[in-house]
Amino acid sequence: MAACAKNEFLKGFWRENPSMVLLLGMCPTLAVTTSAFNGLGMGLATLAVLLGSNVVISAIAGFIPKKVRIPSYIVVIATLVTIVDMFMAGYSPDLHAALGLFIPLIVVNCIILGRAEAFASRNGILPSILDALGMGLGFTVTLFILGAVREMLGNGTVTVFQYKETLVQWTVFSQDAISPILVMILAPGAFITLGFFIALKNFIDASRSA
Amino acid sequence: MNPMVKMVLTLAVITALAAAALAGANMATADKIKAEAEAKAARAVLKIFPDCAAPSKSMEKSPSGEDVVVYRCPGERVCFSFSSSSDKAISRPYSGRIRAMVGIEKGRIAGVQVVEQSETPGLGAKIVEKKFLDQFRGKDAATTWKVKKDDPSGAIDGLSGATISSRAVTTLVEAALRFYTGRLAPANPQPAGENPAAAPAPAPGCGAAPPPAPGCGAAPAPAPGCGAAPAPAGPRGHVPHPELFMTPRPDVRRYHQVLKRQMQQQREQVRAAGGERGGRPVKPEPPAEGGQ
Repeated sequence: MAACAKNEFLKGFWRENPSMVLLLGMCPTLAVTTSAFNGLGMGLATLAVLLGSNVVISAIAGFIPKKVRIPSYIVVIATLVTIVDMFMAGYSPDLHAALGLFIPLIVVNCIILGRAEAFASRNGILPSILDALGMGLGFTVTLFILGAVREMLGNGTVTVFQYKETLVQWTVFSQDAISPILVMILAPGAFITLGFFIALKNFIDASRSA
Repeated sequence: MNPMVKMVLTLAVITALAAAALAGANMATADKIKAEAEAKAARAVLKIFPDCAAPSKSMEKSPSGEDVVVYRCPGERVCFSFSSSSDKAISRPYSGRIRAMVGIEKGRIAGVQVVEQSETPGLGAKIVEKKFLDQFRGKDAATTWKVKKDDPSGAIDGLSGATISSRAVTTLVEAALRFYTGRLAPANPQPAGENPAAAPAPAPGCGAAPPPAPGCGAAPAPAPGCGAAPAPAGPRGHVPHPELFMTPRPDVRRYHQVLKRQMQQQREQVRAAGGERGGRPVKPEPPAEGGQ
């Protein structure tokens, strides 16, 4: 059981990484990762909603007839997201200003629906929590690295944290000295970077099994 | 139970529960969110005028009929928030709308704070950064309100990769300044006794100082270069072209036709002048070069 739980948690980081293997949630992956912090914010917001939806859905899956399961899941997810959005706007406006853009995007994130359909509806609450944590953190780490690479090439900086007046930013090169590769921040840059990431992952897997 | 009925009932129950949860969350947070929006506006005012903790508020109507809350601080200073839909002359943002708090002190921009925007993160969203917004400080009606990419003499350095967003903010601040001079500025020109003292001294080596614009509270600053003094533009002297970048297609086509005709005429002139030698500058003339 312990080995099994560890497996449920760890699979999201590499073996079933949502961005690089399952290729789920491409819209936020490609659109939001213009800076490292944006990737981090999107990843953490997704993690929170994934956790909530996995718990609720694994609890109610037994009562839902098969034919209406998808609409039911979507209603649950959209409700959770909207409630999170409202409370964040009311009680933590600075965090909302930083993450507000990503919150509505989470509803259309296929990872959440995908995990609800493929895992939470067939497993108990505890494995579902572990699955949500693993998948959410795996997604967060991938988005953070993706964002860091794109921001470094496209803007010359890596923004790790940005909240109120606090700004943790590492300037790799000055824009006055070297002109950055602007396309890396634009949509094509997202596809290019993700392509290299997937190729690298497959290369490592292939050379490991050989 | 009939499976059909069960399906409908389950979905209905889930939706009803979700609606109840949302209603509850809305009741719990609506007041808080509204208060937060007001506090945010007050904070933006404080950021522009740090000593103005208790501004007097009044309501005005923007050129497009929107409500504008005007915060007045002592010393002829006003702050109000303008959105991209407050004036038709404001160029459209890349996505959604932009709302910015604009502070004006005696006819000059004292500071700009973007309070709402949904531009692309990493590109257009950089309009909220200090580096971009600080450019507006000190600008007045005599400024060329253009992004440098649209007009090399423009006063505003746009963000690279986000010209549309930069243009939206620039025209927004310009419209806000126009709204100020038209509606909020003290109706009479400043008392004669105060004006000479307040007006900046003409730069050395500069001819006649530009006369103060009629009906305008603050005199426009003399241009820094000062060579050919620009015509003292009144508050409405400069007409923005918010849709410059959307050149209609037929115009482009006509422009190409005119160019083509001109080139043809030139070619004919060269041919006429060159007579037999004619070859070099005119490329499409294979017979003149001689056969292979």
